[in-house]
Amino acid sequence: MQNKSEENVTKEKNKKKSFDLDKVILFIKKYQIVSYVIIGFALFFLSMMLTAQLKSMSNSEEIIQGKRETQLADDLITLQRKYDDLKKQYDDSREVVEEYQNNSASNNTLISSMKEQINSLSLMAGTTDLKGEGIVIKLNDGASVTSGDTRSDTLVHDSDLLTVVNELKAAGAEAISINGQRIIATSAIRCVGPVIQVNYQKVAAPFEIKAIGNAQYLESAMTIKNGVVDMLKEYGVDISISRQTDIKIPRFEGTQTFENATVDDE
Amino acid sequence: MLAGIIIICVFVIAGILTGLNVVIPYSYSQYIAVAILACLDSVFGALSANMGKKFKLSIFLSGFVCNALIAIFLVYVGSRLNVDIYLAVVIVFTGRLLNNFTSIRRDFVQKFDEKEAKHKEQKSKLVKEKN
Repeated sequence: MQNKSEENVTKEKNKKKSFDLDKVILFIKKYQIVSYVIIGFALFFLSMMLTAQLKSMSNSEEIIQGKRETQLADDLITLQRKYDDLKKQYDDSREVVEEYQNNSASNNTLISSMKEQINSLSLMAGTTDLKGEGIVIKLNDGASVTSGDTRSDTLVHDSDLLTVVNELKAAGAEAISINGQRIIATSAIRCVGPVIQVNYQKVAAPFEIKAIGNAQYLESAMTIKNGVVDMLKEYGVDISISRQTDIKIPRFEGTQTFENATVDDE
Repeated sequence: MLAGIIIICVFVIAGILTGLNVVIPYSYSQYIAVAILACLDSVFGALSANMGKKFKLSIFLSGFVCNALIAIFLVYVGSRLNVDIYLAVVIVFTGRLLNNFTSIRRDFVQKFDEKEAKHKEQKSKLVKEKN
């Protein structure tokens, strides 16, 4: 009923605009078509979404996995490249600094004294390679449970390394390194999951702790009764100490920055 | 009627063809899936309404658009609140879809039965007349 009245209204309107009657009829016929077209539009969107969804779902898993792997690989490669570049830069600038030191030291006494100072300071700071007599301690995870201890006690923990390093320092060690990581004033030894971090670098068993100092003192400090070695052996850790006359300890590889601390002159 | 079906078919085929060239990013697929369910629900609702001659274009169209939008909105809110609201949306729309389908089937079967009964009556009348 409403439709008819609407038709009449449109007819009247069209008459006013002086259209032919045929055109009006055509328009009415088209009106139904218009409704179908609207439904068709809705179904168009529906079928579009459906097919797009089906299509993108059928191969999405491969895409995700592939993307993740390739992305991670890409990230790794770029980071490695970055690391290599930075390392190269670091070595270059280090060479420049050494050159300056060598050149400037040749004539001026003031500068030569400064150079001595730099040498002694860098010795203390751990920024130079060192060699000398000392001891090498080898620590490895124990294979079996010895005296009813739990399994994890036979592993070398960060605290074991800390104790050894502390004992070495107390015994007068001048330079210490763990698996090539120089121990300096700000070095931290800590447990990070299955590995141990020294200077924020991962190190894992077997551990080789090198210490330069009076070899006799160092060894006796380690092997003293109920000392570190005894304690670790009791835990089931493999530990061995050897005296050596020519130990080489590498310099500290990282960077040290003081962001919060400033020199107090007063 | 026939022209209308042809028009709808043309639109559906066009939709499938365009859908093959559209790629939905994985993060949006959940929203699209819910929207599809909502749209399917309103299409089935329209079909069942058509069976009872109660179909109205305005209701169909508004339901088609609004259901999809609200469903997407709910899923979005759910993901923001860390609640899987999309499950509720899926359950509701699937339930309604099944209900609609049931009513369509019933109407169909009923009509078929009526026709069958009429046919039988006519046959029996013919047989009686012959006798």
